[in-house]
Amino acid sequence: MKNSTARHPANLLISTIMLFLFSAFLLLALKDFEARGFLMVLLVPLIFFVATVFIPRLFPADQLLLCLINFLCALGVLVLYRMNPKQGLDQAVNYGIGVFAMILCILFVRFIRHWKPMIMILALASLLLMALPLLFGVERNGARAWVTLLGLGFQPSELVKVALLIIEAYLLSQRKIVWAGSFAGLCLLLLMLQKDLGTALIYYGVTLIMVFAATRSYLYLGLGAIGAAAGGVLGYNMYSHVKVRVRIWIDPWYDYSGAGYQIVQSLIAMVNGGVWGLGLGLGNAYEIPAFTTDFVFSIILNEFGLIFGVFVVLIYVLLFLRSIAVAMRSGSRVNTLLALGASALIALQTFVIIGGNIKLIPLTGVTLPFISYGGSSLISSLCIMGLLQGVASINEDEVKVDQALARAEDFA
Amino acid sequence: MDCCLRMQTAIFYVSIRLQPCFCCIYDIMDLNGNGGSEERLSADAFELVSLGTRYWFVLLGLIIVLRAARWAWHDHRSYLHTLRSLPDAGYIGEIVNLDTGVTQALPREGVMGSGKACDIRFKGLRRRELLYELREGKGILLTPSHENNQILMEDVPLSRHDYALHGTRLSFPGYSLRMRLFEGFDIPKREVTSMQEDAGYLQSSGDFNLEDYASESSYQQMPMIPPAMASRPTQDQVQQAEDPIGQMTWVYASPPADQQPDIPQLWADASNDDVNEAFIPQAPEAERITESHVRRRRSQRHEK
Repeated sequence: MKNSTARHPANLLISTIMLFLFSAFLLLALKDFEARGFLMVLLVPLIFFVATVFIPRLFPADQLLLCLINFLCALGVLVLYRMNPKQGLDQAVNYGIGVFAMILCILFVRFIRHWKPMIMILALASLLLMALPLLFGVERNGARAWVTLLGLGFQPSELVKVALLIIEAYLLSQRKIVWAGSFAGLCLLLLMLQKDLGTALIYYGVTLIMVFAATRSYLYLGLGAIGAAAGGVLGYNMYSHVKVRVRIWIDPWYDYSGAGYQIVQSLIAMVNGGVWGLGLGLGNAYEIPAFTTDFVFSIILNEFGLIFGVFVVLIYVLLFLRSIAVAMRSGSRVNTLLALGASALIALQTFVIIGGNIKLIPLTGVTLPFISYGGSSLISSLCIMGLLQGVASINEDEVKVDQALARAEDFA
Repeated sequence: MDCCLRMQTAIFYVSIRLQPCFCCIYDIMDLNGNGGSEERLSADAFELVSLGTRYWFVLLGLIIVLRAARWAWHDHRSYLHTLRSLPDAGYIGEIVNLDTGVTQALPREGVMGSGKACDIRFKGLRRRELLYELREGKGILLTPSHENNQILMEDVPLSRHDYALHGTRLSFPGYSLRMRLFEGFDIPKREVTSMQEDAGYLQSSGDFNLEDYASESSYQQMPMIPPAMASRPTQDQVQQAEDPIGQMTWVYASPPADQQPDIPQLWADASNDDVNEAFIPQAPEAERITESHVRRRRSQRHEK
């Protein structure tokens, strides 16, 4: 008799990912031979298993999406643990918190029926959060985007991403395009004042995509494209570090020990990795200054090789396609826009940072979703995926209701 | 000569390549006589293992991508299959053109108009004429896109937004439309009887049970909504209330006898009991609807 459960693609994928994580962490544990290394061998696959298998038992969810997200998060923990064990452990804790936040977001989307009362509060809170770095912020890497409150450092723009999606989805579903544009414009203004141009680019792109999806108007799309071009020219002329970024994008070797040092080291690390990589634990990419945040993809290419790097990109592509499928299956306008915005945001952010790493586009200081080090980034990315999962969950419910109705009619 | 040279080169190459391996074996077996003081792998051994696992990780990466893609494809196909077996999925009803009898499926929310992007399209209307959205417990919220419109709901001009229900008639310039819903039956009781009689007619015909769609508690908690038609029933509604079947012009009329398709009456023949049993749905196993059970639209099945 054929065992259909064992051959289900879900079980095969989950078991393969767990095997990957187990063997990779075991290899690192054998290198250091420390108790925490062996703890990670058990802990990370366990978090992956719990987050992938048990969440769909609480409420209907898209298990494939969960599986891919959790794999990327666990890969991030692995890479960070390899480069800096302390950061790896921090990231594992953030991963656990992020999974909890994701569950809350799923519940939020599932059970909130009336969005209107909270939109105004959410918008005001978001603008207040975005203004915090201008008042109490700390400047890092040319951008004043960080705030430390009660000893806890975080990036408000990362958290506001979640609110941006909810607010834009609601306003655009109500055809309040002016309000949606105004909110996004205010956020962009605050981001420009913080000089956080990478995040501003993502906010702008996501808003433009959502407006186009809501209105299907090529006029808005064209105006948005013109606005983006104008903003690019304006940013280039206003900020000196933008000029430097463009210059090192065109020719990173002109100042390879100064402004172009990061990108040059990143390119060297990727080339050193070759097709198969240098081997986990044998990489030499410590020379890259921001190797755990902006250049984590270079670390992956350095240690796992080009082929594995392509697989990571393919996993992001699958994640994007799956998210779009969730958006298209949704029967409600607000949920469709929410899912579309979430998928666009993750895809755009991934493109911007991987493109910057491989010198396809000028480098901007954003994180690689789910993998880069950073609590704010990981938690906000998982929250965004929580919103997406919430929509997927509602879709599953609707299909079940339809099937139940069809069965009831069959009985009748 | 060449052969010897090649062989020597090969042996040299292999020995160089295998050197870490020998070192590893020496380390593991403690043949170097270091006393095994350190439990961790030596750097050479780790290097060897790490170099070997590169291919293992790439292989696992490939399997992960392929399995994820296969799963996505598998799920996409099963979703399409589900959609085929549930043609009403995602729709809340349909809108009938009373002049032509042509129907268009009604999504949960959308836009009516003549534009390409509209969910319900009628030529001759404005590009975006009317926005609609199903509000649970209230009905379909209709919001005209333009203030100076010529939309009539039950012969009353629709100046701002209002709620439509099952059977509500809409008039656009050149079009007379009727809404037929199969969702939203948890709408409050209304004074106008035509809706309830429609529902009663359908209920008595065994097509559906109103109580299945609306629980008692939610039914009682629903606020009373005074829609435009509730206050003063139109002539059409009065006629419909008196003779619901005869006046339901928006229901599909059954075709003349000579045009009706020849449907085999399997159930009339006792020899087909096996076939008939196969089509009786079994409650636990009915999760999966097979290809042969491709369904007709729910609203069309009501007409049988």
